[in-house]
Amino acid sequence: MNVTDDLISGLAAQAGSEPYRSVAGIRRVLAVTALAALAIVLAANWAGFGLRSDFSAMILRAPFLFKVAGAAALAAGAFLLMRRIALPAGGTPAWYFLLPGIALFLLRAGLDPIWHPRAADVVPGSCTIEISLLALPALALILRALRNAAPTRPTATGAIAGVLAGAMGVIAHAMVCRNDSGISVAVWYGLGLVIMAGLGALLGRRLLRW
Amino acid sequence: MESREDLWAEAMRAERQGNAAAYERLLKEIADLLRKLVRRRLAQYGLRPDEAEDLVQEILIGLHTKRHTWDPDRPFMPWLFAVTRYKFVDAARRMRREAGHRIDLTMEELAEMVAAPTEDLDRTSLDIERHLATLPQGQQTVVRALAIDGHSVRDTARKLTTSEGAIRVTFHRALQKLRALAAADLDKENDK
Repeated sequence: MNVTDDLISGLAAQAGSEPYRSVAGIRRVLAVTALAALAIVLAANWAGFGLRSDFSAMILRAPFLFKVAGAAALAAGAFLLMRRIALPAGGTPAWYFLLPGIALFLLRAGLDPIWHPRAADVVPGSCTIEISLLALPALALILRALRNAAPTRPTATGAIAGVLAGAMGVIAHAMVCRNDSGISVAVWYGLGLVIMAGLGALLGRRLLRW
Repeated sequence: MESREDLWAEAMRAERQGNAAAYERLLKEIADLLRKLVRRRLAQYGLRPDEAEDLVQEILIGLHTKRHTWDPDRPFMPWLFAVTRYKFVDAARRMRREAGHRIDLTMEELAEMVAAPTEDLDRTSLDIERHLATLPQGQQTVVRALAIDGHSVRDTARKLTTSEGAIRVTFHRALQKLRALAAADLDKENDK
């Protein structure tokens, strides 16, 4: 009892010293970090993999648009979810935020139920690997920003950070990938997203505890 | 009559203005609440009653270090409960793991004492004191704190401002050395 009172006076002596950011500040850092991470992933894809050879012809066609729209919807949903789950009582973690993005990929798979990637020289598994590689720097940045916050569910928060980073990887990878068949994209891109979610969960469990 | 929500939210705002007295009062009131809560749940986490206060302190420290993540425009109690729930489970789990380590260490020692030839107790403790004195100062402090005074690894780490891992390593090394010294003694006696 006595020791606790000592502790409390020690803590109380630090009243008013606010070395950290406010809630609005934390959310601003998350937003700026997410935008910076997206820019870095796009730049890394540009530098490392370039653009698909038929980029200008494909840019307004369904296969490309579905990939980018689906990934953008997923990224937006994951970001909004992360804003909530990163803070104590920051709002109910609404998992349905992720549904629009998932629905777009499933819709495309339904409209174009083809397993085999159209371009003959595309190895679909490489999509999974490249998406994960592109997403790694984004995940690192986002986890670092999250350490400013106070997630009461570190594992789930890490998983969402992984989905966000993975969706960024998908947006960038769509610029180069010539795998345009609905099911193939849903499966191999989805696998990349699941890998990033798992990695994010593992890292979050360790790095986001406080 | 103001509600607890209003009073505590007010105290949290006062803290940001540097009002240490209001903040201290708030922390004491929260500590009282936590004590009740922790005592009720202690058995569920396999902790001893004397560890309740440690748990209360862990939660208070967590609340203090993350106090800036409460948004003054939102109610305080939901934030407090979310933080308490998280720190409670997190700290209780870690303390139980530590209790496991503690028991492992004493079991090890116990097994050795059972296996060792029976000696009269006074002499054994004298031997231990004598051997202890030959250890480096740092190891002596750790062995005294853990094995003789019965402090927890975490408390000792905090007191010596080092990590829990470092304490365990030091303790382990010291035990090895003590074991070697005891074995050497035994040899000498057998030679006689």
